Amino acid sequence: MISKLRRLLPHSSQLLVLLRPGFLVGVAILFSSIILALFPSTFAPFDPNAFNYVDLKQPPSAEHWFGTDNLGRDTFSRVIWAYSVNIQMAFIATIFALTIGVTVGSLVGYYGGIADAIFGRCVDAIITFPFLVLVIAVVAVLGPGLTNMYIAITLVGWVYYARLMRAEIMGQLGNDYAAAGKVMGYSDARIIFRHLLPNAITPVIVYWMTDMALAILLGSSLGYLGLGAQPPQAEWGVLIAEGRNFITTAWWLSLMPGIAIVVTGLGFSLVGDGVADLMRPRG
Amino acid sequence: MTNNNKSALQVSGLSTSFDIGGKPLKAVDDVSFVVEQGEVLGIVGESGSGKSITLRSILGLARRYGTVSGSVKWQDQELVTMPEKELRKIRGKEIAMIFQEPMSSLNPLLTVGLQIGENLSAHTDLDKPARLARSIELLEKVGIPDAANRLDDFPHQFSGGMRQRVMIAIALASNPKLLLADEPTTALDVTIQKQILKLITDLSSELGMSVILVTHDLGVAAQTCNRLAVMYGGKLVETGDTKSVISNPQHRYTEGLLRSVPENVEPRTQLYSLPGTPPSLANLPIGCAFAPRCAHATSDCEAGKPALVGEAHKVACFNAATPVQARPGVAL
Amino acid sequence: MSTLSYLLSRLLQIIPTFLIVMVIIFLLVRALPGDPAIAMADAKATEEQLEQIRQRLGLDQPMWMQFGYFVKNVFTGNLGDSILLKAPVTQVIIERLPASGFLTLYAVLFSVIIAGPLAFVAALNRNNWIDVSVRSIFQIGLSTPVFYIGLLLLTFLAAKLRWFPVGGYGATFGEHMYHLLLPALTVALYTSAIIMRNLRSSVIEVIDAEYVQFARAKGLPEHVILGRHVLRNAMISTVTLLGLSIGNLMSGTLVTETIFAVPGVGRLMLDAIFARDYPLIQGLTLTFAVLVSIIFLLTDMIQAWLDPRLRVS
Repeated sequence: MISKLRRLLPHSSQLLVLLRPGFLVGVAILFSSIILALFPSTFAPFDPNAFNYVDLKQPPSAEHWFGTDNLGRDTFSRVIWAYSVNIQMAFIATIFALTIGVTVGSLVGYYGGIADAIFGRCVDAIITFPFLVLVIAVVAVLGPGLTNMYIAITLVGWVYYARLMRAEIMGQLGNDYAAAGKVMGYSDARIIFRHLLPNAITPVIVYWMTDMALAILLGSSLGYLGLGAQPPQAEWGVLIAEGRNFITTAWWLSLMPGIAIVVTGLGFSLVGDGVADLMRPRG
Repeated sequence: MTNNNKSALQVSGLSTSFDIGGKPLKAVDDVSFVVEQGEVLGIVGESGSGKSITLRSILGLARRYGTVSGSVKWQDQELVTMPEKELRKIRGKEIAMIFQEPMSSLNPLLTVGLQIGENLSAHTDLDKPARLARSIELLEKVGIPDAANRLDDFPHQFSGGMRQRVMIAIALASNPKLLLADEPTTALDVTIQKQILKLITDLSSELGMSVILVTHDLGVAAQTCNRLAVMYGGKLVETGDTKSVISNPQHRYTEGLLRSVPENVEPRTQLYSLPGTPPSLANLPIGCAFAPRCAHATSDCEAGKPALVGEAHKVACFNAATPVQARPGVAL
Repeated sequence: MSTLSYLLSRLLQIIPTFLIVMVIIFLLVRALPGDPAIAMADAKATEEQLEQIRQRLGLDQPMWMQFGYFVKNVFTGNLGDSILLKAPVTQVIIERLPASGFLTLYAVLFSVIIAGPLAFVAALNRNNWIDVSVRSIFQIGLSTPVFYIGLLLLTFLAAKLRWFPVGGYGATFGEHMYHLLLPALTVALYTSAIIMRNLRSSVIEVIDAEYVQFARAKGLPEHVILGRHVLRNAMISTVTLLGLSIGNLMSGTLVTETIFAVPGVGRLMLDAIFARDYPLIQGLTLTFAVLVSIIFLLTDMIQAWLDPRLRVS
């Protein structure tokens, strides 16, 4: 009864989704994060690497909004400069995994057969393990560092995109237009990339947004553990690790970068939710 | 106002509207009818005519989603304004309801025995062994073979027709005096349909139970009901004895429905279907809802909605087939 | 289909995956540059010890036979000796498993306690301020890294306020509960956010379902409707999600064990990776694979127990 009634809703309300406060807040956060990432020197009052032996471990003040650390570096500036690294993380750590995953997933989903069987077993083997553990293992083999971290995350992460894409493609194959394409003699590549993919890509995009938030969490965790970005580079996880030794006396050193992580992650996931709501079929 | 001591249910001016995305949707518009004790009343209409919601409004199931106004009198108690707590004592016990889709109306995770038993627990003082015995008795009464062993089965282990029988068994558990049946046979095969309908009418005469049967199939209604009420666009457009309505339809819609039933039609002739489509309840016209599809519509019909007038056989139409003399003061 | 045959068929499904994992691990160690025996041994190993390792691994034999040795070793529990801890890998793992297991179960318990009731409250108050606040809090929880929460809890509740010990495991059951409370809470915060979201939307979906309407039409009291009809049906997808999130839980456990110095297998893995202790890495990887597979199997079984429709063969 209820669903029958809901189907009577007019179409324009779909766009109203975008005006919801959650989504708008998310967009605002994302937008400002990207600005900060692109123009850190405009917004950071101090040089993030400048030592200042006079003002060591100062609590937050008018001059140093987030205080200073044990080497006199301004925490606020360091957190701002870290935006470049962490926002970059969100994109680089995900985009390659997405590309590889979408390609493999489409091919496997379309052709099926043995390729699909092998793919399935590979997926099972990789998903069996906690993502973090696998990434740490790969980084351990390759050695710590940002680039190796990206490689590790891509190496493990593509599977999730591929699995999603495969499921979507297989779902689309049931639709008539795919069969119609074959009947009309389109090449396989054309069918996959021009017809099936645009329809199947929507859930992947939604997942990508969530994944970006997760990438920041993962990247900063690795930074904290010393496996990702390396000190003295300003990265939120690294900053938290640096502040850990002084946490009872200079709590602001670890607290502030963490807040940046939470806020930015929130931004990505709010936008992701909004996009998901928009894409979801009504009723 | 007709005040019949024998009538079990009196519905007056029942209206139910929902607020969907800011727009009010009047699903049930000023509906009035009476159900006598022991009679089978059929409410006939297409999907989206508001007939299911009428039933749910009677039992108070619609008010958590929308606004219900008007009056529903059951044995001198007013149901529309009754608090939920007291309404629960009537639901399942004095008035029972069965739904259209037995697969989605029965909880797939619970055994059939439990779903019958909880009705008994809520409304009777029977202890466990007594409930068990009664459950078996009920399943046998609705014609389920090997009843004792089937109590521990789950809904998906029954066929469609059997599931509907289980629903009826659950509904009958506490000997209700009125059964609301919301399209109970629509989801079933034609042969099973006949069986279920027969079951319902047999139970009605055996137990003296009144039934309101909602259906979109005029043929079904004609075969099983004592009286008919035809609904369109949320309003009742014609009511009366089945014989009278079928042999002498007053409303053009009822006429159309009757013509659409393919009986005694010459082979290879085109079947008749009503032109046009039923209106969306969110976009009802100001005038008569049927006017856009009616061959006999006049300017009156677009200006305002006709009232339901007449004696035993009532119709709501400005241009009824046999014009009914509307006498002032006679509303129902 | 009887329970036994179901169990067997599910076990059979796990075997290919497990085999692939074993093959991958096997090849990884062989892929390292240099003599595998040296990789698997202490830097200060004597030639005699190296020879023992070569024997155990069957390094003089053809590759496929080596795999045979490998499989045999795995099934007899002979995983070599840990370079880092200078003790048999099997023994080390068995010693550390209880702490991680305790922590994980504790965390699951907390997640359910936190997420369960709040999900219901949010679902029943859909879209009003209660719902929005609950969802907002959990959304923040989803965006907060585990190590950050752990660090904050450790600093403020343990180091500063001294309400809880600063990590460790304790000796008795009671001490375990006390020492692991903060770590369990840390892991639980993220997991409960995931559960809450899923349970809330399940409850919302179920509460308008036809069978709930039918239950209402039967005149059942509201607590029976919520408890028997809504909860059971809404719970199914959440339980499945919880089972599938075990990987996530393990990641959280790993980080938390590091921060709170809990002697579990998560922290052991991290230490092993840093120390290039290949026998230990190998053993732990196999352990994880087994554990996760068992959890997946259990999840399937619980699902079938909850939903009779899944029991049809």
